[in-house]
Amino acid sequence: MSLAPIFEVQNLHLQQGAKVLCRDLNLQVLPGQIWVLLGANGTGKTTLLNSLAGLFTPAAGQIRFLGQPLASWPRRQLAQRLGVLQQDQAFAFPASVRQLVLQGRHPFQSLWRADSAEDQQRVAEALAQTDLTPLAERPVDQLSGGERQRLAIASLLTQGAPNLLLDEPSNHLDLHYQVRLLEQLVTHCHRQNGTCIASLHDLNLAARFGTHFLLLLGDGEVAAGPAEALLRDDYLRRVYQHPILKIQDTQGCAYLPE
Amino acid sequence: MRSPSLLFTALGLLLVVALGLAIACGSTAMSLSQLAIGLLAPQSLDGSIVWQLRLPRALAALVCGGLLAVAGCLMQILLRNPLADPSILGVSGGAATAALLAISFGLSGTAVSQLAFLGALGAMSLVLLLADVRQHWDNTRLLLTGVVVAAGWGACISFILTMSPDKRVHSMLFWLMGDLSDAPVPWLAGAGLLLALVLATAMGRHLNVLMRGELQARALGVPVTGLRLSLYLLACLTTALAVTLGGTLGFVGLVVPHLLRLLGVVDHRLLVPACALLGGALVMLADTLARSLLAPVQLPVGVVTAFLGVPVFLWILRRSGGHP
Repeated sequence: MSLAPIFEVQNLHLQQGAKVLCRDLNLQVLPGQIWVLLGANGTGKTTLLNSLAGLFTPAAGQIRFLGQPLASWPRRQLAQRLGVLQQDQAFAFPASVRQLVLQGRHPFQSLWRADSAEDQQRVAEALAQTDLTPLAERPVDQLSGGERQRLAIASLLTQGAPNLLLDEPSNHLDLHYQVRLLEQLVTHCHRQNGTCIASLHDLNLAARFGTHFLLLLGDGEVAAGPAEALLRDDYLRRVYQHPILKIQDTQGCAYLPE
Repeated sequence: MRSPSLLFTALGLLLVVALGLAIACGSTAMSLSQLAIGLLAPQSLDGSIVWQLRLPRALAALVCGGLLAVAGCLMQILLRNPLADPSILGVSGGAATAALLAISFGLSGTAVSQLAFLGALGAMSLVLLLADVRQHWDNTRLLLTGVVVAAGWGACISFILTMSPDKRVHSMLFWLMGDLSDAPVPWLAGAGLLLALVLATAMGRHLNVLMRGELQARALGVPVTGLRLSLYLLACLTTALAVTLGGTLGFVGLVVPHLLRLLGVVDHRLLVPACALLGGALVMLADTLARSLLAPVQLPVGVVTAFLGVPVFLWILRRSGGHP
């Protein structure tokens, strides 16, 4: 198992207008690690994920992906190695579920060649994994919010990039899909020796999957580190501006707002 | 769209029928036998009507309609706006201003067309410069710049029309409403249409992904900035060629892409070529009607495209439940 870092972030400074979202962040993300981003609304979770995806230009600092500066990656090459799940995707293209999931293969397809048998095979697998097979021919505008989110995840699984950036992957999902789909995404990354960085709202879901945490504490302050160091009362209280109760039991532990 | 081959067979048939009608109909009525003789013997009187008058004009209508529909489709994708059409960014306005100026100076024929093409290129560069898309591509800014510049051209056109003597106003109005009467065999524009079709169809996969929004498209490896610039140039150049050939013929570019979308053609690799076929057929039919309906009086073809297109479009819109 190679341990060369997947992401290396040095002195990252993110700013939107006058608002500082992230100050002097240093970070090393290694293969196999699952990072969870926690933060209140408007603290910059999406912006941080977008800057790691090369979709937002940092005010200062450096991000390296697989040893190369992120900005120097051609988009197509990057998309073969890094999958991005964005929040509330606009599916303005009035296509069927199957066609949209197939678009996950875009970074691997040439403009002239037709879709290959392998592409179709991957689509069928992703549809099955997200329970969308019965809806495969349905136009996207007839889907519910949760079904759209499953569609976006199916597209990501079809893409098959070993490293994933997930912005609120559990949005709109029923409880069992939250757990099952996140498990599948994490397994997907582990199998390919990649990593996964996800922003989550649900602390219990976060604690279940995260090996490492990025806590956006507001005013650009970011704490990064392994789960045991960061899932502490004092940090969590600062993240949520509310005391959090940790209940430990033989079955596991749960977090509740006090 | 379930079956692309069915769609293209139907569009191909429509095109053949439209071409047949364009050759057979006109102010000189021709029987089938006369038509056959004319087709086989280009030197005869009927032959010269078919080969020298009707066929070039039919081909000009075909290419002009195809260019306009493709241009409209590309503008709609570029601006992510269903109301976009080839004239929205002022390219045809610039062409019209130049053409009207040429007519008011007493020019006619190819000179008008050449100046119209220059006007279109000028308008296209002006909008690109004013919208300042080099640093950051902002669709809203581009759209607003284009619409305002187009309004400026509109004012220029009204000004020229008011200041011109009556005898020239008639030919100006014809040019503005679409006029294919002097159109030569459209070799250059036809080649342009084919090239645009190849390029736009090649971009089709990228365009499909672009509909998911800019960020998602970039995350899936689409070179968004380059793609948009290519779209802009392609949409403007096809508009320029179409306007040069047939004047500012409205309606086709707006409605043909929507018509096909309502029929279920959403994949851009199919939509763009289908637009060219349907747009070409529609303008050919319209032009045939325009010159034979009230013959010997010729109607502007743009009036007829709208007369034909409005009811067809509304009917399909109702039938589909209004969901493109």
